[in-house]
Amino acid sequence: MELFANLALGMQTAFSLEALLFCFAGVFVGTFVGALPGIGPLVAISVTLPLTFGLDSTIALIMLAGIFYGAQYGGSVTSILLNLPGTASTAVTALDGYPMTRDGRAGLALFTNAAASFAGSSFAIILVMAFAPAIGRIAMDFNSTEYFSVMVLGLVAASTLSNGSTIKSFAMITFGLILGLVGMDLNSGAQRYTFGILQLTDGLSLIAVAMGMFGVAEIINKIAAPDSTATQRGAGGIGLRAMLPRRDELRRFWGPTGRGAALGSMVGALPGAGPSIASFMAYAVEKRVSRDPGKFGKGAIEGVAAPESANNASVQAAFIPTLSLGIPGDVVMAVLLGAMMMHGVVPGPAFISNEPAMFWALVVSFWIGNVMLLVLNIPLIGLFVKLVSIPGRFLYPTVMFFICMGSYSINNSTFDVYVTLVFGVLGYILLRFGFQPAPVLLGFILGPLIEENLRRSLVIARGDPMVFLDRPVSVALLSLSLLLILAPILRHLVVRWRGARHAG
Amino acid sequence: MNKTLSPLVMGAAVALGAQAAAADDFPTDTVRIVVPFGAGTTTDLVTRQVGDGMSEVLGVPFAFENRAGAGGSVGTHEVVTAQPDGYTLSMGTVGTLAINVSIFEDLPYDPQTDVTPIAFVGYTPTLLVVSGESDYETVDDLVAAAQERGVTFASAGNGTSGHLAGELVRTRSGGDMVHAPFSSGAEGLTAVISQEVDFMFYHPVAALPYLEEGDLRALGVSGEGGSSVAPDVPPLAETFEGFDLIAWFMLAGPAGMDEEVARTLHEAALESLDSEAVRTHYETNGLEYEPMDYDELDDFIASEIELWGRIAEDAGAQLD
Repeated sequence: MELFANLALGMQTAFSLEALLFCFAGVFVGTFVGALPGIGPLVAISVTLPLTFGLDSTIALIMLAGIFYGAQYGGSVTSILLNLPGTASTAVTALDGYPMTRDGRAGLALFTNAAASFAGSSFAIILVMAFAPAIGRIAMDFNSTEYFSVMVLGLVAASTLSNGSTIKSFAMITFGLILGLVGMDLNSGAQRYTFGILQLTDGLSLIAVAMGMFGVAEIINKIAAPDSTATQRGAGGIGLRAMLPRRDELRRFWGPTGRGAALGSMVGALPGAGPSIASFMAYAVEKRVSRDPGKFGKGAIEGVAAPESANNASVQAAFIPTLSLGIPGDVVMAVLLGAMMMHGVVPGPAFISNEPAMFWALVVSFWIGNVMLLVLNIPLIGLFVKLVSIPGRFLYPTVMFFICMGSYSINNSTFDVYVTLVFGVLGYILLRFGFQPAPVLLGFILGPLIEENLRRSLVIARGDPMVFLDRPVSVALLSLSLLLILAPILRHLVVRWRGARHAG
Repeated sequence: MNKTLSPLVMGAAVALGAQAAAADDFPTDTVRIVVPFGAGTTTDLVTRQVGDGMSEVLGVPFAFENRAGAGGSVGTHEVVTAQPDGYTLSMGTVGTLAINVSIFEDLPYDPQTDVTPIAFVGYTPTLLVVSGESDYETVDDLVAAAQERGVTFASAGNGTSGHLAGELVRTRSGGDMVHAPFSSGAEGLTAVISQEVDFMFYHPVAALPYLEEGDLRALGVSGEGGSSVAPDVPPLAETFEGFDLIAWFMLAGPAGMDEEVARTLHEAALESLDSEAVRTHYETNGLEYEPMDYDELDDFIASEIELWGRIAEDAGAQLD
């Protein structure tokens, strides 16, 4: 019953008035920065960090962490309503969330988002409470070969992501992979596709590319071909009845949410993977297991529940390596670790045993924060839905302003604003020719990770490719990828063989 | 003719006067320090601590701006092209002011001619760490393994000080050591702990908790003076004569700054470094500090450029 003693310890701090207040401030700020396209948790935390110096370190961390997971809730709101993802990890939610809005089911989509987000987070928080140190150790044993194999599996599984032409989808993944090459090669230091531009040395910014291809392109698209369906039908009723799922919809909610939570927790616990990969993979899994994959992209509730559950679970699970080992999973976590150090807290493997009060207060606050988010988000749905009825001449310039501000603030650089605009125009042109932006993002995120881990594995193994078949986890993951590639061919052969026997 | 010239002459005279006045009562406005790395990095934390102290000394606000990219070159380049009036400064590092010039072929600035060094604000040696579960107890064990079967070392990227320190160990020991760059130091550290990679150089304070838990073992310190937070770890100079590499920080402005302005900032930085707040921060973060005279700064940069340039050349780490 050590767990309960620990929880009680955490509750002492987490339920203090000050902690509740700052937890609420964190998730509130998080929801809003998440909803603003381009302005994500990284920017919000970097800006808020100096303001927390006067606070007690536990309270400061509770607030900063609240911004991080709060942003995952807010990010999907604009994805669903306007097809403008607030953060890169919610881009995939737009695939089915936006069609739901166009069908007048915006309230339901937002409710699904809030509920799935809460379920995903809760699942991951329980994992953090019960197994953080153990999971941290397992994640640590994941080395470059396993990372390579899991990313390959992700790419293969998610290559069915888009709707429509497979050839076009593959073309877009390849385009994304090429974009991922831009920058200084990690191994040799050679400049690739940088054209002597210093700002390209570290590659294109994910946020700038995502905001351009999804946000700016969509705005151009809407201005060029005003889409009246959403405004004509309104966004649907905003009463509680319109928001709540019908019985059959509820039945379709649990499976995807559960699988999304499990997958998101796994991906989140691995340093370096992150919520974008989690949401892409969860969506792909649902499409694979669904009896009717054709409904995806046309407003399937599964297409909202799975990625939202996954990206929230991933964000919470990302605290496992960060807190139990001091290894940041992504840039946002690295900033949080910096915040801990500024507050005189040393992150590392001894953090949980040295600072139990802080660790448990933080974990308990995650759950309080998620309850607050749920309570905060559901009444706001009515307000959010009204966004859709704002006339374009007010809405689009405002959103453009936030996109530009957001892409500038990633690195205080006007260069990133130009990148966003260029990709906006490019994204629009591709959209007109029926190419989807989601696979581009997938290639762009996974490409560099696959390459990096492939080459690192080979460098460490001194060029021996058998290294990928030496480790059981890697073998299992690669076999699964191969199976996914071969499955359609095998199915085809079986059908033909049966047909032949029938005829004979 | 004279009449048309006079406004110009007058303008020039006014401008000169303004500049003289500016040097006299500098500073009157917010001083902006560009941090060429991300928020939360060691460089960022140092800059904010020292800058806050300088703000108190000088009685004007200090603003900090993170401009990361290309190993700090992006932010540094922005500062060297700014007005040399003392209101735009950068926190220079061993990377931006010494290593990058031998690593990036098209570095858009020359740290020796485009920069006015202002104050040396501290340094940190790094620790050579191996996994706590490995067989390596001393540097000699590691060298023996390298000569027998070959070893690998991690770094936070090509051309970083940790990479070059590893290359120096390789060339000095003559062993077979292969470099595996990671995209961040933390990822490299994970690989060392799990024994995917044999060793790496890491900041003492960041490594300390792992050393205490037994996840890591430190075999040597890169600086001749050792590390104050890990006093038991022997300097590498005991194995490799003259091995002395440190990661340092130096406040700098664009070339052509008024010397009086630069000296005002220099004094303010020294005063800030003497303050209780900065001392405490340095002690808890394993940063070392020895004052350096204003007149020594140029020579120090020159000698560091030569030192790291030679390692890069020997290692063939020149990037193109």
